[in-house]
Amino acid sequence: MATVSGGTDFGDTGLWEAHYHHDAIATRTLGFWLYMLSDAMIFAGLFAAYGVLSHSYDAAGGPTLHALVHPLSAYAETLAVFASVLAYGGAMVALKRGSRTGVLAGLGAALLLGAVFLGLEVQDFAALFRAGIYPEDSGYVSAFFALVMTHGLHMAFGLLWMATMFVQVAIQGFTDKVVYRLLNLKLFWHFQAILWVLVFTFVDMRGVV
Amino acid sequence: MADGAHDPLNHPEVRLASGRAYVAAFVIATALMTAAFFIARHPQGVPHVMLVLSGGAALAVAVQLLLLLRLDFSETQIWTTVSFLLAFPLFVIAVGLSMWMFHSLDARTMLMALMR
Repeated sequence: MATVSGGTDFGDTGLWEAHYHHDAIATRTLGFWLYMLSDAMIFAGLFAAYGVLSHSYDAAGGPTLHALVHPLSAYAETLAVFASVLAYGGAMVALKRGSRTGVLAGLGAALLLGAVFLGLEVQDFAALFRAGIYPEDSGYVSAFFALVMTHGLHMAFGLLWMATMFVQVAIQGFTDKVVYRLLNLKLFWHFQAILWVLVFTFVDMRGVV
Repeated sequence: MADGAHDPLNHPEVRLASGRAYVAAFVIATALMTAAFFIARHPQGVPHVMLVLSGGAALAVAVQLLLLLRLDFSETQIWTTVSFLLAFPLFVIAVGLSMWMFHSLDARTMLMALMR
């Protein structure tokens, strides 16, 4: 409140509290978002390595992109990851309405579709291994595996996190902690879809072209 | 912001959720990636195929940033957007400069010249 001297009396709240209301949810989501941006720099390094090493010379006479990618499977993976993100969006709309059943249904569907994505990707890698293609074969193949597997690993951790949130929402309901974790997982999951667009275009579709 | 402290569901970041935006992002991104899939498989008659595919990917990423992550300059999202705008050039510079440096190196490497 304004004082006689024209200053401001903040009472017990302190200057910081008076100007910047402590908002734990916003602070934590911004902190996690900054972490996601630093995570994106790992992908920058991997995309750079992949871009540098994706000359036929780097394949050392071994397989190149055309033999490494499975376009139809990659397209199905794209649909699965986009649908999973849409289902998570459904969970976010249900959260806004305060519907626990809706959030659980959205999380369950997102989890299932994410598992479909991961299953297809594991199948692709298994096919490469069966064909005798391993990450250590050449710089070209190492860069390919490192990039695609790092994204796959992110998806796997996302699914683990989602399963954890499913249990927490079911048991604890919408507490402050559960809500900011759901918001952070939203950032994480949507970010994976964005990275997948880049992997799909510059790895899978480039391999087809 | 502090008003929502009692009920986390009233928090502005929870209120950002929009079913319409999520469905639009899904439809547009799926359409763009489907188009990329068909162009890649049937590139006949399409000039600069990789450039076209890159454009499609950039558009899909932009749509997801705007409609899924809801990046904008509102009071709720301003720092999310600003931190992204500051980090994005770093991503482009890291990838772009690495590729440019090695492209220059490759052009002056005897083995690469022999491969051509």
